[in-house]
Amino acid sequence: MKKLSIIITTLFLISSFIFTEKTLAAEEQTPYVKSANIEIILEDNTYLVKEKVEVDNITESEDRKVEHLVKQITENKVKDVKISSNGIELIPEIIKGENLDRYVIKIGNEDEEVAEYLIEYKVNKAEGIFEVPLFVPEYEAQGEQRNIHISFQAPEGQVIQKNSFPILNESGLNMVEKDMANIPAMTKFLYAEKTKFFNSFNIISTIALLSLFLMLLYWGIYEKRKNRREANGN
Amino acid sequence: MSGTSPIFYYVVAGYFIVTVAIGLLAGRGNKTSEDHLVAGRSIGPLIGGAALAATQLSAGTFVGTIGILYLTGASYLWYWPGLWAGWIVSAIWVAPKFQRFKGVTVPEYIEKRYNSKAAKMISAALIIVAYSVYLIAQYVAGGILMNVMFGLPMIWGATITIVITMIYTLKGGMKATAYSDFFQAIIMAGCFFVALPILYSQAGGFGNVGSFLTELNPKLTGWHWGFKDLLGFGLAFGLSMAIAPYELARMYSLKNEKTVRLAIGFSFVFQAIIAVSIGLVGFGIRAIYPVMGSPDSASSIMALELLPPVIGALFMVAILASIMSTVSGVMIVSSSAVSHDIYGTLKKSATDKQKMIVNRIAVVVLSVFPLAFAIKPFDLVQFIVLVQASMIASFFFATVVIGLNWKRATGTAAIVSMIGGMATVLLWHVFDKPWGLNEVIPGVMVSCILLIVVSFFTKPVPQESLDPFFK
Repeated sequence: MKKLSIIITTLFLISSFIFTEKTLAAEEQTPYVKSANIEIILEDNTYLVKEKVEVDNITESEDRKVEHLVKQITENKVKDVKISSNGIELIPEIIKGENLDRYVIKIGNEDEEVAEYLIEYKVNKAEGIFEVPLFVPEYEAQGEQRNIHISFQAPEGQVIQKNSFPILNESGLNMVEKDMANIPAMTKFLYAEKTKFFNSFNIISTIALLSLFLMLLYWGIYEKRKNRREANGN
Repeated sequence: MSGTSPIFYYVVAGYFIVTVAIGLLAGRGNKTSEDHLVAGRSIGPLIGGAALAATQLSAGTFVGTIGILYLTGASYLWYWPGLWAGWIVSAIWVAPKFQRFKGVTVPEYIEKRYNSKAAKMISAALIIVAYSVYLIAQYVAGGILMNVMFGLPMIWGATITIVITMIYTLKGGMKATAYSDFFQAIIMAGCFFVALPILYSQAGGFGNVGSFLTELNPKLTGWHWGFKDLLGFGLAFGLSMAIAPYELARMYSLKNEKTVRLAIGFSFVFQAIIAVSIGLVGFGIRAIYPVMGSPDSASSIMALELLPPVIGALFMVAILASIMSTVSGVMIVSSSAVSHDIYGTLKKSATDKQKMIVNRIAVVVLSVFPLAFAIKPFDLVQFIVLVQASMIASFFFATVVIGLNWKRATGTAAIVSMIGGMATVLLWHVFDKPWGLNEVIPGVMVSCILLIVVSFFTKPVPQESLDPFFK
């Protein structure tokens, strides 16, 4: 019985790994965002946005159409949208929603594997609101490469705060650049005349670290006393 | 590199140092197998509860579940009731009896209850297989994490995770893993309290997120998954959680039966915090990144690009903590299956010292072996975790739950049940889930039917095998 169980066990060990290695889905070739370069400049209370997108494998799409999602930020409205590819203006089909608009364009020539296009638009800046909606293509970016480049230029004399989105590692700059893995629905670059040290992020971070340290300290003291009690009891 | 703040390196390094230190301090003084594998049966309810929660909450939760919630929306949360039902089954019918039995490994229960060394060895082998699959998911998640944070190739990230975990597991055993799990559980639960307000402040508030997601895809706030799928997920997790060897092994380390029930209660609190939080994280991230290449990287992306560096680093550390707490629990169970259940049975004269040497070798080998499969994983993290949950449930649910509560179950029936359940899961998986049913449903059904039917046709076990489990 022991030998039989060893044989059965061994057979299972081998066969289980073979079976569980089965791939569930074949890899499909779909269009993807090869790169995107997004420039945002703030002038006279208006954001000027230029979004240059490169889509690869576009021949895998039957109709060569790309839908773009544009988040509606109530106060900061998108206007004067102009889309072009190779110098030719593209007229988008616009589907308006309550929280989300969709812009559909047809890109690239028949045989082109890679299509590049430029989206230019303006966003009114409301008082105290720093969100800028971006055009998000329906195709995913190549996540590992961080090919989404975003830059923001604040008005003269202003410095961009670290508690912006996307988060910044340096402070005191008038212009920032960030490489990301995916195109976000919006950016939120906060700025002021000087760097504010006591912002919400710094306060929250300090409280979190302090709490963790105090908890560890209390736990260490508790365990030490417990061990001493047990040793004395023994 | 990715432009990661240097704070990430300090926080991650600090976490590794503190975790290893806690593990080594807690586990010093281990002399015997009983000290090493069951912490001398000294763990109290709070640390025990945290350890139960932390072991269960793995990469599957912080990477995989957030990824699936990001991709498919709120309906996926319905698997949690299935999971908790499994814990209730454990608290009432399984865990207290396990603690009372005072074994060292889970297959040891199989041997004692069914009076069968063969059943013990087969169950040990099945644990090794299922948990090797489980480790693949953890390594993939660790690799993704390190890749996103530091730009490291996945294999290096997975290796670093394994090595750090191995250090305190090898040295400190079960007590080390329990104490480090407590620390890791605090980080896991705590980081959400700071991360969620920041995430939703950036996303525009709860109302905005809800209406945006509904308009993006109504199924995100509605029903992406059908009843059959949700039943399958709930059963896979619930049935496996009721008898999960890495949780049952922890029952041996608790002081008494009352501690077991209290610990499960504390574990529920931790889990509830996590369940709600990861749901909110998945939805919030989707509102900010409507299109994402790899859903499994959703939580890492949030930590790197949305949260302040300290909080983002703590969140990444929480994910690492979830991986390491599970890996350490699995290492203990799998290695003891080799050293005590297979080696100890084949070589009856093996001393405790010899078994501990084999145990340590097994920790290293079983930790490294799944790396080869992690390089080319066969599915998203969460679905790899689901496959192993189905395997565990299919070969153990009947033998543990029915065996602990029905005296007539026999040794031969246990063997047939385990093999039949496992074979059913594998075949169901190979044939691409006929009728859209998750493999756990036929797997558990077949194993239960086989256990009951074959028991009636085979010799009952002697009374002394039943005495530890039936008063």
